[in-house]
Amino acid sequence: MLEVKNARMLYGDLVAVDRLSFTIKPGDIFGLLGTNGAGKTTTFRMIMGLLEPTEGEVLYEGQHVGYHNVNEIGYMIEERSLLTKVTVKELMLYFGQLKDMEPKVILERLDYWLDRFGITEYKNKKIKELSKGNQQKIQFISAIINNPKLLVLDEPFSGLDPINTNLFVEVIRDFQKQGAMVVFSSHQLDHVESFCEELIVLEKGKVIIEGRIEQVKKDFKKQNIKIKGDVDAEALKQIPGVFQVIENVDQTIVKIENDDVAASVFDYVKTCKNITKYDVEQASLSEIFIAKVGKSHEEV
Amino acid sequence: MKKFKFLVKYGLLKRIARKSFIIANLVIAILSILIINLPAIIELFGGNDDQMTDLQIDIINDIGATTLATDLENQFNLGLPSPFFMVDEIVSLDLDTFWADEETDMLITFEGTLNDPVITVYSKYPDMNAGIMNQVELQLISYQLGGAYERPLFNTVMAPDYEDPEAGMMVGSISSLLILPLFILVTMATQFVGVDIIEEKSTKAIETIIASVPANTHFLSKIVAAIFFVIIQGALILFYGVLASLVAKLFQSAPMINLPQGEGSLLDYLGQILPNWPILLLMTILFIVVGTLFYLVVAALFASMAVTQEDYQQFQSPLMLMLLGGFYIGIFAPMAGGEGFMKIMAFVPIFAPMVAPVAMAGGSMTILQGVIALIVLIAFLAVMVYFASPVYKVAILNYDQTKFFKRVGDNFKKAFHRSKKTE
Repeated sequence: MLEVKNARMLYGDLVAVDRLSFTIKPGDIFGLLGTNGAGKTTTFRMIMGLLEPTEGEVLYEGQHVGYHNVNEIGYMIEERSLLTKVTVKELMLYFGQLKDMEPKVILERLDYWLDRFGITEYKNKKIKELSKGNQQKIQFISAIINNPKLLVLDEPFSGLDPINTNLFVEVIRDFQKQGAMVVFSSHQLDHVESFCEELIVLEKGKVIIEGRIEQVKKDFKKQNIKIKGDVDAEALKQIPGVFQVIENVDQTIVKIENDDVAASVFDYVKTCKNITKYDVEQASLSEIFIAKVGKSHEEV
Repeated sequence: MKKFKFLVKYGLLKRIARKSFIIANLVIAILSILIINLPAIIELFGGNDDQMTDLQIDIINDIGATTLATDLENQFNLGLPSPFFMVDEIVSLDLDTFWADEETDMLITFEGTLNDPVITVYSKYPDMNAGIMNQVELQLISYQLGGAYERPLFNTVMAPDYEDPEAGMMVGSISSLLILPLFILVTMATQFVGVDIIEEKSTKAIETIIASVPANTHFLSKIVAAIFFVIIQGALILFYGVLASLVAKLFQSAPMINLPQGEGSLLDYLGQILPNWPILLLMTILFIVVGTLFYLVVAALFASMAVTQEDYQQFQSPLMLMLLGGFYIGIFAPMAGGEGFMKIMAFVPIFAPMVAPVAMAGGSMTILQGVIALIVLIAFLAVMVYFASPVYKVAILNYDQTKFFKRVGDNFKKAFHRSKKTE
């Protein structure tokens, strides 16, 4: 179990992370979201023991994270962090042995992962000769080569195409099935929504959203109603509790303040013709994020 | 400890198990052999044009030995395949003309009587004085046979602008022998440490590495690997020197570094010019080891604060200035007669590793003073490690790219703010 207890990190007067607490149990996939500079990387560095919290503590299996238990942790940083002048094999032998692994075991596992990611031909190629996507795969392999019980992934899907993203997701799910704890950050909120059960959203070091995703969505009262048919946008806007109406080519999206407004909208829709669709949906994570953080999704 | 050993081994192999290391060492070995055998090589291509073909000696004979000039010429050339010494008798002494004259190389005046001679040798080639005087003495003994032998009284007069080349060469040789290899090795080692650290930092691989091993272990492993590299490279350079000397012996050539004739070995020679050479050698080795460690700590510290390769060029400037400062003081201070200045600089830790051994070998510093300078250097190294270790821990993961002094200051502040908190 990973426990972050009331962790606070100060850089001089700057509060990078302010009293952050969460717990991750074996088999959990935990998302850490936030805008740039929100404190995600600082949190990851605290989890890895690279930074000591100014206040509070980070415990892994009841112990402070340190070099005595680091061999059970896999870490992938946001930017590519690979030695570019060495070959894939040399790099894995280097990183693997820093995790106290035997060279034979490293090479066996490397062969397995290269095969799984479909890049066996790159084993003896220098890192700088690989494409960005393949470098990302190598970096991911370096994080999982030690079969970690805790996997810390900072922006693992950055720069990946959808096929490779799915490949990563499958591997992460495999680790989840084996009982590993996964904590990751991503700017792609659809990924967070699709496979993470619990999350925290940070803004300027403070927690602004936290909890299980379904609960977060439930707690966020605003909902979307998707309608196909002959509806009048102006009439919809007049309904109390409707705060936005978006007219798309194939449907109209009505954004409402809370569940109660849905009945009023439905009463209006019943008076309209050619209605083929009427769906009330919870707000997406992206909408919740924008609403809470107050910035555009692109900035995230 | 296992990870530390692995990092040292990895760092060392990264340098020596490379084509560039092998090629560089092949070049050094070939150059060593060529340089030491340069006279033989020059001779092979037509010889040295400046080589002396004869030696003109004028004598002023006031002792009445009628065949003195002829007898001396025969005596000097005895056993030579062709005459080298030309001896002529002249009547008067004009020193100004003699020193300015390019034809005559030596002027010998014989005064007093045959049984009680006073001989003065005016010489432009002091190296030959001893041999000439021996031959003259032998000739005079042959004249004195049958009478009571009186050893002649010899005076030697050098040219007014004469400087003892042996003394100059001695100091120059000691300075070069001690400083040049040290300077080259330390520069290589600091580059090795700096480039290694900055490569890992600029590619951000350092985050993955520091996530697996403590920053202090990483810091020390780089320094230890570099020290091993220095030892291996130093031993190889020494080996190339020995190899070059063996080649010189094999071809019977006169090597560039000549031992005086009659000396049995290098150690015999060292024993004559530096009677306390064993302790001097020990002190020099200690200065090299402690000094290299000191420079490596500084190199690692500055490299940890740099973010990119370009950045590192700026950050290594203070270190290069220290190294060059020590190098120039060690090389030029003895030649310029700045023994006092050199002695003071030998106590300054940033210059001591290069200056102190030369100061001791040159006699401007006693062994006791050398020991004090070494203790000062060790103390300074301990202080450096004490300060550098926490700063390295902070700086190695810091990607701040502010100006040099601000960045150095910020890293120190953060490091000691953190240390206080940990306490």
